[in-house]
Amino acid sequence: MHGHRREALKEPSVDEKEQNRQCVEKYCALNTSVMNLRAQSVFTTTALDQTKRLLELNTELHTVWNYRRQIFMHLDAWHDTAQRQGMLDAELGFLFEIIRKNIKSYWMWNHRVWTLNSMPRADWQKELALVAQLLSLDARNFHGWDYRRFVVSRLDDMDVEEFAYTTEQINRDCANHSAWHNRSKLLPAVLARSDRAAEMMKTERDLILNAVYTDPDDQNAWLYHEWLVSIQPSDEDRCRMLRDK
Amino acid sequence: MATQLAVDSHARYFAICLRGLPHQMTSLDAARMTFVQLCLVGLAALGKLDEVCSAEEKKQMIEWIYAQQVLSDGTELSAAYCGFRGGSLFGPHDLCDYVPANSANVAGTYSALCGLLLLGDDLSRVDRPAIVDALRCLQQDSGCFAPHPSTTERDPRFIYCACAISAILDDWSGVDKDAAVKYIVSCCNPDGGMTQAPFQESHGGHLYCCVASLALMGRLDAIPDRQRTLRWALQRQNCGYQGRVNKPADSCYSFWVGAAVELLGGHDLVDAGAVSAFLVQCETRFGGIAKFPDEFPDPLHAALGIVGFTFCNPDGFPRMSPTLLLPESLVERLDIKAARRA
Repeated sequence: MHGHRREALKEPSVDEKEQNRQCVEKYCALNTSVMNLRAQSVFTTTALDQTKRLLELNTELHTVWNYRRQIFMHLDAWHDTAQRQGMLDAELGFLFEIIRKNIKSYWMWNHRVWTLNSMPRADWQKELALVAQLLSLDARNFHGWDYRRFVVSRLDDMDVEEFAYTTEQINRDCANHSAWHNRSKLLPAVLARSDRAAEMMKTERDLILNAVYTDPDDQNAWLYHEWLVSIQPSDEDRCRMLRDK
Repeated sequence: MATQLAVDSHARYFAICLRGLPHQMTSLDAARMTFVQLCLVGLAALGKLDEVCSAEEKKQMIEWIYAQQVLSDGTELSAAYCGFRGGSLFGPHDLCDYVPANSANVAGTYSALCGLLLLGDDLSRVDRPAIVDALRCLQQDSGCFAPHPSTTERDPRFIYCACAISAILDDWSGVDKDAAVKYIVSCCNPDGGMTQAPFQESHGGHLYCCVASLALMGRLDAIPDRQRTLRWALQRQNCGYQGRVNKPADSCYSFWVGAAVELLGGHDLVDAGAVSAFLVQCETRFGGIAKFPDEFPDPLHAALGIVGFTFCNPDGFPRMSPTLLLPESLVERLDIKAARRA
């Protein structure tokens, strides 16, 4: 559904039709097998492997993601710290490969959160680097930015660094509303902790003016400016801000 | 520029989709109930449902829908799993001894009820108390809803489904309205938009789910700044409607944002000609409407694009309810309290 460009259709060859038929048969057979295993409450590594093969064919089977989590938690290895770490590290690798097929999949992002929360030792810095990579593929990805906020919340003292990330994203493309939005969530805390608040406000004004000159019709800068005015503590501060361009 | 919909072509498209979808749409298999609903909605909005679906076909679809109903077995364990499943890929109910392996979900339940009503069913075989009990189990402390048990997902889409279900069944005892309203208000952003959860970007789809839920609950007064919300929605229009600031126009938002505008009283402020022209550009030569011009169509963008088109061109199409994806004539006949346009 998302972003399939239309190409000129042609009648499939006999070979292609046979290939398609086999694909459909394989998918249906695997689906039936996994559902049967689930109905019989089978929680083995064989079942785990079957769910992986099915999810590779269709990432949107939310019940199968659920089942996969249940299998993990029933395995003996789950109760051994080192083995659990190993299993879930591999799971992160699996997720990273398939999330590119459908970067807007709620289920995969949720499953990633579950995986990290369940790991004895999650590497949040590595997660931050990975989500930056994913956002470089799609800078407006709603799940990506939300996931980024989740990862940042697991790291200490990230406000300033995250704020700098939004500056980098805005400078790369000042039409990136997700970056401006994220910036608005970080600015109040960053300002409160800074001893250079006046200088920082000037930077914000310059950023807004830059965006307005680049494209006056772009709503971003105007919305951000309106928000910035609204968070000033008093009418006097608001007037001063509007006067000092 | 043409601003007329290719009605017959779209009717044929939905007829084909009801019989089978191409392999590129495998990922929709778990949500087949919703795609059945969307095809029926599209046909209803074109005024072509009775023409395309024979009495026998309607009966078969009704039976398929009811076959997905998960009934209560009288135990507390099964309560949260009741309603309608998203599709038949989970197999027959009698193969599942393990209750959690055979779960309904709120989107499936909403789509099933809508689908049944569009097909002329009287809902007499719907286990209403079981569905209402399930809603009660699925509402979280935050006021939001999970779609089914054992998931961390919760967002306004499921609040909307719960509200739509409650309105159709005329039974709100499964929904704590105050808690739901509180959650929705926490999703209201300073720019007037609404979102999936606090701190996220304003989003047209969640705007619809929040506004329609409030409308169904009779609580539009809870929107912190209604004029600002209307303004945010109207500013999503650049030819068609976009879902977020600086995203390209996408045909489905002519419903998500368009319906929110209708509910907030902004109908006369929309550039109906521009929305219509954009939707016509998204039509495909063989029927159906795509997300963008020159892409493949799919039932979601086709149905929602057509309903959005009817908001901009009310003459010549059945009037569709902005809150329930049902014709207003059906809503009135069944006396469903669906909330009207402002």
